[in-house]
Order: sequence, then C-alpha cells, then structure tokens
Amino acid sequence: MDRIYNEHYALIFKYILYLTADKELTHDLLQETFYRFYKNTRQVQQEKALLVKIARNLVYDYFRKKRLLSFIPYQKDTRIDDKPLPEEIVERGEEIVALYKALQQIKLSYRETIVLRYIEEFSVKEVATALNCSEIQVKNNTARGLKALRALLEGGESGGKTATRTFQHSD
Amino acid sequence: MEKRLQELSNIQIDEQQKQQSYAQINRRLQRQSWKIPMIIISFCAIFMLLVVTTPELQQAQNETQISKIVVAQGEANVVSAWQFGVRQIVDEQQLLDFAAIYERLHKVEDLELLQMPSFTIKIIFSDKTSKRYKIYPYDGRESSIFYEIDTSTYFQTAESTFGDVYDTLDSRIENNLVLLWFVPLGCFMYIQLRINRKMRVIGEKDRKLPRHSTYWQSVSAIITGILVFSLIGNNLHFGWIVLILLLNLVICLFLESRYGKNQWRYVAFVMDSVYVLFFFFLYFYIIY
Repeated sequence: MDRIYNEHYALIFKYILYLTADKELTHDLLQETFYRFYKNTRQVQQEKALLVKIARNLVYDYFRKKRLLSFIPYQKDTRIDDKPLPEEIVERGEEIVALYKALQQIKLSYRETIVLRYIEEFSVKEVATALNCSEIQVKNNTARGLKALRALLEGGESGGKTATRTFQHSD
Repeated sequence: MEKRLQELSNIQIDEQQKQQSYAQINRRLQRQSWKIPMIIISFCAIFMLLVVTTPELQQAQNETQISKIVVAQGEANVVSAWQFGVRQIVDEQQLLDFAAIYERLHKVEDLELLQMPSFTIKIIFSDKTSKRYKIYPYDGRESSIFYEIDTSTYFQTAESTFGDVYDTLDSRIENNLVLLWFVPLGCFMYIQLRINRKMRVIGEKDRKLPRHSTYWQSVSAIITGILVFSLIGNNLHFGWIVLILLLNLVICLFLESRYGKNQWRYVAFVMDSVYVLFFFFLYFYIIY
C-alpha cells in the first residue's frame, strides 16, 4: 500500500468523521479525497496539509449540497441525535459521548479548528496552512470553539439549547 | 476540556475497509477519463447541428404558394429568422399582400443601382424551396426593383408599388404576449440568485466570496460579451451565440478546476450561461 495513504488514512478519517458525524459518508469522502489527491498531484511537499484541504473542500461541498437540497420538501433531515455513534465513543462513557455530540453542534469553522488542534494535534501554524487562514484566526476560532463547547456541556439541557442556538452552524 | 478532546483521537480504524478503499481508488485511477472526448464530441455535435439545421438554398422549380418570408433591413446575409436583425413574416394577410405584388414581377434588363437595397429577403415556398432577393426603390420610389441574388436577375414591380412592398415588409403584428417574456425571465433570475445565495453562504452571512476564482475567468467573460455584441450587427445566428457561450463556459469550468475547485462556482457558471442563453432564446422566439 502507498506510503501517503498508510500514513494519513487515520488523520483524514478522523477529520471527516468529526466534521460530518457520519461513518458511511466519511468512507465515501475519504475515498474521494485520496482519489483526487492521486489524480491531480504530481509532486507535493506538504501532503498532509493538501489532503486536509481536499477533504475540507469535499465536506463543505457536501454541506452546500445539503443546504441546496433543503429546498425540496419532504427531504429527510438527519440530525446528530439520529445518527449512530461510533462504538469506541460509546464505550468511553457518557462524558465523551456528550463531548462528541457537543462538538457536532458548534459552528463548522470552530469545529474543524478544534478537531485539527486537539484531536489531530496539529500546531497553530499547520492548522493555518491547512485551512488557508491566518494564525490569529486559528487562535480565535480555537478559543471561541472551546467556549462554545463549555457552554454546551455545562449548560446541560436548557443551557445546551441556548448554546446550540448561539453556536450551531446551520448545515 | 483539551485532554478530553484528545481522548476522541483514539478511533479504531477498520483495516478491511481501508484495504477496500485503497483497491477502489486504484481501480478508479486506472479508468480512462471521458471528459475531454465528451467535450470534443459535444462541439462536433453542435457544429453538425448548425450545419444540418441551416436551411439549404434550393431553387424553386415551380412557383408555389409563399409560406414564409424572412426579411432584414438593408443588405444582409439572410438565412433564417434565428439571426439578429432578421425576422420572419408568417401572417396570412401580409403574405397574400406580398404575393399579389410578387406575382406581377416582370424581368428587366440589367440595371446599375447605386443606392443600398431597402430590404434583403428570402421567400420560402410551400414546397420548401426558396429564393433570395434584394429590394430597391426605383424610379423615384414609384416602383421596386427585385434583384434575385442567386441568378443575378433584375425584376421590376408594377407601378406605384414600392410603398405597398415597404408597408408589408416593415409592418409588425402587435403582440401583447411580449410582456409575458419578463415572467419566465424574472422567475429564472430569482431562482438563480436564490440558489447562488444558498450555496455560497455557509454560516457566515456577511461573508462575501468573489464571483471568479481567477481573473482569467473575468477576462473570458468580458471577451465573450464583447464578441457577442460586436457580432450582433452582422446578423449573428443564434447557434453561434450558443457556441460562444459554451466555449466561455468550458473555459471558466476548466479554470475553476485548476484554481478554485468550488462546487457552487461550477453551478453558478452553468446557471449564468443558461440564463444568458434563455434570454437570447426568448429574444428570438418572442420579441422578434
């Protein structure tokens, strides 16, 4: 198996999974990410950043399509509560499940920064390169994302609802 | 919080799924791309369509009933009503009026006409044959000279007929349906704007994204606009507008695939092209 595929499979898988919270979709987008990478890339130095960029574009395209299709009546709206949770998340207890669910409710730009910073353990500079934004923006999004997560987790049911309204990304 | 987030990092990877995906990616990479052959085939098909749908000029053997007149002011290459500055006359009364004048044409010696023709027409008969003429005012506008383009023959009408010819070829039927033109166009524009807005804005409502991802797309759009509007004066055929817009669309999509790769922008380019085509289609179909 190819070195790049082997090295970065887990990274891209987690990145897409935490943005979409859908395992089936994650496999599809992951396959498309590597396909586009191999098809269009001849020589690359920052393969990790490029793979994240491709995956990010695909995730954004998916959400855009979803928004576009929301025109159509009777479109099935699958919310986070209806989606099956990954087994390893469920096994780690309620606290992690709550964190996983809260992560899905914050704004997409905060969510992807948090995922890259704390789950994928990227440096601020690496996140800025991958997301094509400034380091200050990464720091701001990280702080706001953490604040939104805290509000959702500490607020419980009632506080959670308010925080969701405040921070939820309309995807 | 940060430590708990790091716990989410341990996600089990399904090795079997990983292998399957890799095999599938390899299979897809080995497949031949169909996009370039498809674009070439599309262009060829449009060219063929243009050639096939352009009516052939046939000489009428027997003069039968006039079924249609295609007319342009001044000197023009009149082929079909789907050209700028060219319109067709299909109204029965107008055709009868014209036929009455046409039947009384008589052949005259070659003339030296210094002025420009008032009209260029193509008469299409019921047996699908056609004849092309240039029409000149003659003898102090008392009568008309019909110059048959394909046989280089001059004909003269009976006296005091130029005014009748002019009235028949220049008059238009009042069509109140013209106003309805704005309804589909408006609806289309509304849908286009709404889809664009829906697709472009994600979360951040005030975020303004550039319409083009590279300035070459703007250059292509400007050149297309200049090309279309500079050719309009030369009785440009609708088919050429389709071709020019399609070429611009292909260029913009190609540039997008190299620079922006934004799905919404692909859709926006297609929508814009369809909108402009729709506009020109309605122009020919309803207005003219």
